[in-house]
Amino acid sequence: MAEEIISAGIDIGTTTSQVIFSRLQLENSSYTAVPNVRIAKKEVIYKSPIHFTPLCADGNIDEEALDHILLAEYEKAHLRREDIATGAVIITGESSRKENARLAVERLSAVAGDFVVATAGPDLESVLAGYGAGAAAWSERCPFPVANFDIGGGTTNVAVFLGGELQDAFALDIGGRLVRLSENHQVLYISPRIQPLAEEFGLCEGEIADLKALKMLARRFADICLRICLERPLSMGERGLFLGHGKRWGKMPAVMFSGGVAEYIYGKTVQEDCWADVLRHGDIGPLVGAAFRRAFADNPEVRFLTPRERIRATVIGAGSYAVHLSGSTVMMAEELAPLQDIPVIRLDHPERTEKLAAEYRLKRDIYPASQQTAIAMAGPGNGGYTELNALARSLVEMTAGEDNILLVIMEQDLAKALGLLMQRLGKGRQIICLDRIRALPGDYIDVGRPVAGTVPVVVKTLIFKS
Amino acid sequence: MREKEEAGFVRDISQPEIKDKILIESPQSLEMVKRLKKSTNARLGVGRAGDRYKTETLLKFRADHAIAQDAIWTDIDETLIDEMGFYKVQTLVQDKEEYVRRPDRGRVFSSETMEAMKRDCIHDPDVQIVVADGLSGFAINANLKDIYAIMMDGFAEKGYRVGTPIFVRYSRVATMDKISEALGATVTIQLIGERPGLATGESMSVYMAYKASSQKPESQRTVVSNIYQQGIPPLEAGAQVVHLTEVLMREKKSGVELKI
Amino acid sequence: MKLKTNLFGRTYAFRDVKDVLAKANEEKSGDMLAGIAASGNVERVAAKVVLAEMTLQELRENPVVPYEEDDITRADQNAVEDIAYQKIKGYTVGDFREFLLGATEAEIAAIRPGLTAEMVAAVTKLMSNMDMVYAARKMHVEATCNTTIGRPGTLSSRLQPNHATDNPAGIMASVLEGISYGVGDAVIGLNPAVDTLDSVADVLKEFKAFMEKWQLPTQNCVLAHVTTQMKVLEKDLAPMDLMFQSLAGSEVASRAFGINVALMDEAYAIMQEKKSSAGPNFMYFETGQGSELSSDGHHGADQLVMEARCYAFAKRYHPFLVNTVVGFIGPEYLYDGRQMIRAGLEDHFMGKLTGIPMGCDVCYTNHMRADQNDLENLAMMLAMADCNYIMGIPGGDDVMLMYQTTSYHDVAALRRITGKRPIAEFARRMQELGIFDEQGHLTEIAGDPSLFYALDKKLAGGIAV
Repeated sequence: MAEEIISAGIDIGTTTSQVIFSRLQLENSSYTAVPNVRIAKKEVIYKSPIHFTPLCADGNIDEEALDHILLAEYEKAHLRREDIATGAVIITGESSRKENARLAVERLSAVAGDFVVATAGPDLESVLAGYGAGAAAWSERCPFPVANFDIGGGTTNVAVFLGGELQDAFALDIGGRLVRLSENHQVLYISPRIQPLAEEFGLCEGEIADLKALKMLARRFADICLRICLERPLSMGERGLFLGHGKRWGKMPAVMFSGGVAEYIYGKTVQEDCWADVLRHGDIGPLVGAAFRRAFADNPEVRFLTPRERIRATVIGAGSYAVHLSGSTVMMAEELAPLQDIPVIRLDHPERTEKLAAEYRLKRDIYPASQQTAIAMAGPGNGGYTELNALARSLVEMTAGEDNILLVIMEQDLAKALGLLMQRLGKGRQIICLDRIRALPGDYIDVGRPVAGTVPVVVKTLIFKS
Repeated sequence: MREKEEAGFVRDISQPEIKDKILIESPQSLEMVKRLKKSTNARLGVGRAGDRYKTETLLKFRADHAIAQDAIWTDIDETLIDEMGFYKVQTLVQDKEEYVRRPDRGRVFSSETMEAMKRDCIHDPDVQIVVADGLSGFAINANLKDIYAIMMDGFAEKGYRVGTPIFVRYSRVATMDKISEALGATVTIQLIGERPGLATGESMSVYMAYKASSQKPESQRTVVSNIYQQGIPPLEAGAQVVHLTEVLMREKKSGVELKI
Repeated sequence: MKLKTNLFGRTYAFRDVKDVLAKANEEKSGDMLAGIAASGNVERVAAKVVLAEMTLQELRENPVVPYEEDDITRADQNAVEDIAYQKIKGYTVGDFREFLLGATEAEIAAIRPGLTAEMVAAVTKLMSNMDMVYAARKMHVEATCNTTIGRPGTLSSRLQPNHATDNPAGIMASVLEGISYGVGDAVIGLNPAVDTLDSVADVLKEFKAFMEKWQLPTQNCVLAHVTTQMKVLEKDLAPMDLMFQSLAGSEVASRAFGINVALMDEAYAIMQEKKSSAGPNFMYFETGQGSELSSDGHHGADQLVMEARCYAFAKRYHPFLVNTVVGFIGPEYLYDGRQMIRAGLEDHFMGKLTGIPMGCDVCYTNHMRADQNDLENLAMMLAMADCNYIMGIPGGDDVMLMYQTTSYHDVAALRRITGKRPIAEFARRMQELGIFDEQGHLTEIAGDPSLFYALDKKLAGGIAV
C-alpha cells in the first residue's frame, strides 16, 4: 500500500530565494491491521530557478513581490495550493534578522499552502543543508563522520553526521558576499563581522581592492575551515567567526560542500588572475570557491566528497527532510491541525506520577496561561495498565484548568493507548497524543494534518544553541 | 547484571543486550560492524571459532530455542484466567501432542461443550472476547492483563455490550467462528498465542471478525499480530483493537473486505 | 497387478497403486493427518514388499492424479521419452533400486528421460537413508546461469539475507557478512517481506550493483510471487538473473500458489527474453513435502509422491536451482527431526534422479520436535550426498520467515569437513578478496562484514555497498 504526498520547500535567503517540490512516497509496511507508515522514497519533482530575494528600499523583504514569485512557480510546476500536503518555509541567513521576516513567512504560508512554517536559526539551516546535500545519507555507509559545509553569501552552515545521525551543527561568518566590489575594483561593502580579518589584508570599504589581498582573504576562509576539520588551533579572532556557539564534534575526516559558493568548488572554474572573471557576481564568491577547492581537493588529510546538491541543498532539505512522521497508531482529530510554533515542555520523570504535577507547574509557568504548549516525554516506561492509567489521570488533572488542546508527544509507541485513557478521564477535552516523535526542552513544534494515518511534525530543534 | 555476577552468578545470556554484542575479534571497523548489526535483527557480527560458532553464540541460540519449545509444549498456567473469571472450554484435543498433530481437532468443540456454552453465556453481545492458548500459553499470560483492561475501558467508553469472556484450551483460530455462531456475536475478538520465534515465546495475535462464521473464508478476519513488550505493546494493541472494533461495527464487515 | 501379501501370518491387501504408495511411505505425520498412512510398522513393510514387485510400467499407467484432470500429470507423462522408457518399463521397483545402486552415472543418465514422478517416488520408498546418499552421489546434475552449479567437488550456498521489513541497509548488512564467509555462490536471494513491484525491483538492483562493484560471479534473485517478477520484467524495472516460484505437485494445489503450467510457461518465455543472466538455466524453484495436503490438493496421495511430482513440474523449465524447504511446513506434516532428516534425503535423491540440480533448505520450525543437532546431521549427510547447495543465513536464524536453517558457519564448516569448495570462479574471487586462502579455507580476516570497508577505502573512499 503506497500513498504519495507533495511536499514544498521554500527558502528565503540573504541574497536568493527558491522553491522546490518533492514527492514523498509513504509506504505502509505492515500486513496486519496495525499500520506502519514511513517515508519510503523522496523525489524532487520541481526545482525553481534561483531568484534574487526581493527587498524594499528600507531593506526589509518585499512581501508582495515574494508572493508573486511564488505563485508563478506554483503555476510552472502545475501545482495548486491544495495539492501541497506538507513542507516547510524557512528563512535563512541574514534575511531571518530582517524586521518583517516573521510576517513575510506567515503571509507566504497563506499563499503557498497552510503547511508548517519554520523560521530557521543558523543551526536548523545547517541541519537541513546537510540532509539536502546528502551528507547524512553518505555517512550511513562509511565508518567515519561526514560533514557538510553549506557556504552561502553571508554564512557557512556546518552539519556533522555519523551513521546517518546528526552529531553537531554550527555556523560561521564565512561567505561569498561578505565583501562586495564594484566593476572598477572598488570595495563597496565589508560585513562588519569580518572587519578585523579584512583589515589584516588591508581591505577597506571605499578603497580599490588588491586582487592578491582578496585571494588571501579567501584562502584564509578555506584554511580556517580546514583547521576546524582537523581540530587545529584557531586564533581568538578566528574563533569570533562562530555564530552563537562553537563546535562540539571532533575531527571531520570527510567533507562535502554545498551552497552558492560550492558551485565554484565543484563545477565552475574562475580565472583567479582575471579581474573581469572574478567579478562576475560583484563579490568574492568565485574566489572563495576556488580557495576551498585548492585547500580540500587532493588533500590527503581529508576525504573530499561530492554533494548531491549544491546551491539547492537547503531548500531541498526543507522540502524533504524537515518533516517527521509520527507513529501510525495515534490519537488526533483532523480539525485540530495545523498547529504552529508550539513550545515544548518536557517531563523528565513521567513514571513518577505523584510528582508530575509539580514538575509540570514549574516548567509550564514560564509561558502565559493562554499559550498552547506541548507536553513531551520519552514515554510512560515499561509499566502496565495501572501505571499508564495513573499517568493519563495526572496529565488530565494537572492541565484541567487550561483552555488549550491537551497535546502530548512521546517517543515510545503508546500514543493510542494513552490517548484512549486520557479521553476517557478527560471527557470533552480536545486531545492530541502522538508517538515516535522526540522533542526536547526549548524546542518548538509544528503539527500538520494527518496523512495516511500518521501526523507530519516539524521539530525545530534548538539544542545546539546552549 | 554486574551485581549478580559478583554475587556468584554466571552472566544471564537471555538478556537482550547479549544479542547486541559484537564477538568478532578484531574487525576492520568496529564502528561499521556495530552499525550493520543495528540495521537488522539478524545474528550478525558473531565471529567464529574455527569455522564454527563461539560458545556464547551457540548457547544463546540454544537458550532462545529452548524457551520457544517450552512455550509450545507447556500447558498454559490457568491461574490468571481463573482470577479474571473467564468461562473455560476445551476443543476436541486432549493434549499438546494431539494439538500439534491434529489442527482439525483444535478447531471444533463437542456438541456437549457447544450446548453448555449456549446455556451459560450471554447471547447476542456486541463484542465477544475469546482467549485461546494457541501455540504459546506464555503469550497469553504475558499480555492478557494489560490488553484486556484497556479493551474493556474502550468498550465501556463506546457503550458496547460485552459478552461472557471465554477461554479455550488447545485452540486454533477457527474456534472463534464456532463461538460467534453459537452466541450470535456482532464482533468476535480472539486473543491467541502465536507460534514462538527464537527468544520470543510471548508474542500474541488478535483476530477479529464481523459476524464470524465457519461458512466464511479465513479472509473474513482482521489481524493484529506481533503483540508483546518489544513488538506492539499490549496496551497500544488494545487501543488499536478498540478502534478497529468501531470500524467493524460501522462498516459491518471485516478482513479483506475492509480497506484499512 | 498384485496388491496383496502375507507377512508374519497376516494378510495385507491394498486398494490400488496409490494406496500401496501411501502405505509404503516411511512414517510422516502428514500422511497420518491425511488418514492414508500405514496403520503400523508391519503394514508399512508389507506395502513396501508389494511395491517392490510392482513394475515401472504399472506405475506409469497409474498416476496418482488422472491425466485428464491435472496439468502436472500431463506435463510429466508427455515429457517421457519412449526409447528410455522401453528400456526400464519391465523393471520392478525392487529391480530399479538395485539398478540405481549398481549402475554408473552414465547408465542412470541414459534411463532418466523414461521416468515419471510415481516411479521416482516409488523407488525412494524402498531406499534406506544410506542408499539414498550412496546413489545420489553418482547423480551429478549441472546447470549454468552466470556460473555453473553442481560440479563434483563443489558445495554451493544461497545467501539468504532476509529482513523483517526489507530495510535495504539491513539486507545489505547480511549480504556483506555472508560474502565474508564465502557464502552466496549459488545465488544472493531474498525472501521479500513486502511483495510490491518497487520493493522487489529495488532489491534486485541493489544486489546486482553489489555483484558488479565487487565482481562477484553469482546470480541475483528476489523470491517474490512469479507474477510480480513478470511485471518487473515487462516494465524493465530491474535486472533479474534468476526467476523464482514455489511449486506444488498438482493442479489444485498449484492454484493455491496462484500458478499453473500455462502461467509458468508464460513466465519462462518472458524470462528467456528479458533475463540479465548469461546461461541457459535461469529458473529457481522451491518445494516441500506436505504443501498439497495443506491446500487440499493431494488427491488422497502421500506427500512423498506429491513432492516427486513437483520435480517433474520443475524439470519442464530446466532450472538452475531447485530446493525443498524441508522442515518449514511444520509438525503436522513432518513431526520431528527423524522425519525431517528422512524427508531431506528423500527430496534430494528424488530431485537428482529426476534430473534437476537439487539443493536443500535444511531447516526446522520451533513447533517441530527437532533441534539444531538434527539440522546439522541432515546437512552433513547431504554434503556427503553431493547436494548442490544449501542455505546460508546469519547464525542460522531467519528473522523474517521465523524458522531455523543452515548458517554461514555451517556452509564454511561443511566445506572444510568434506573438502569441497564453492563454484570455481566464485572461489577464485574469494581468494582475491582475501577471504579464502589457497586451500579454499577461511582466512584470518574472513567472517567480518567490515572487511569490505577496509578494501573499499583503497577503491572509492568508504562506501562498501
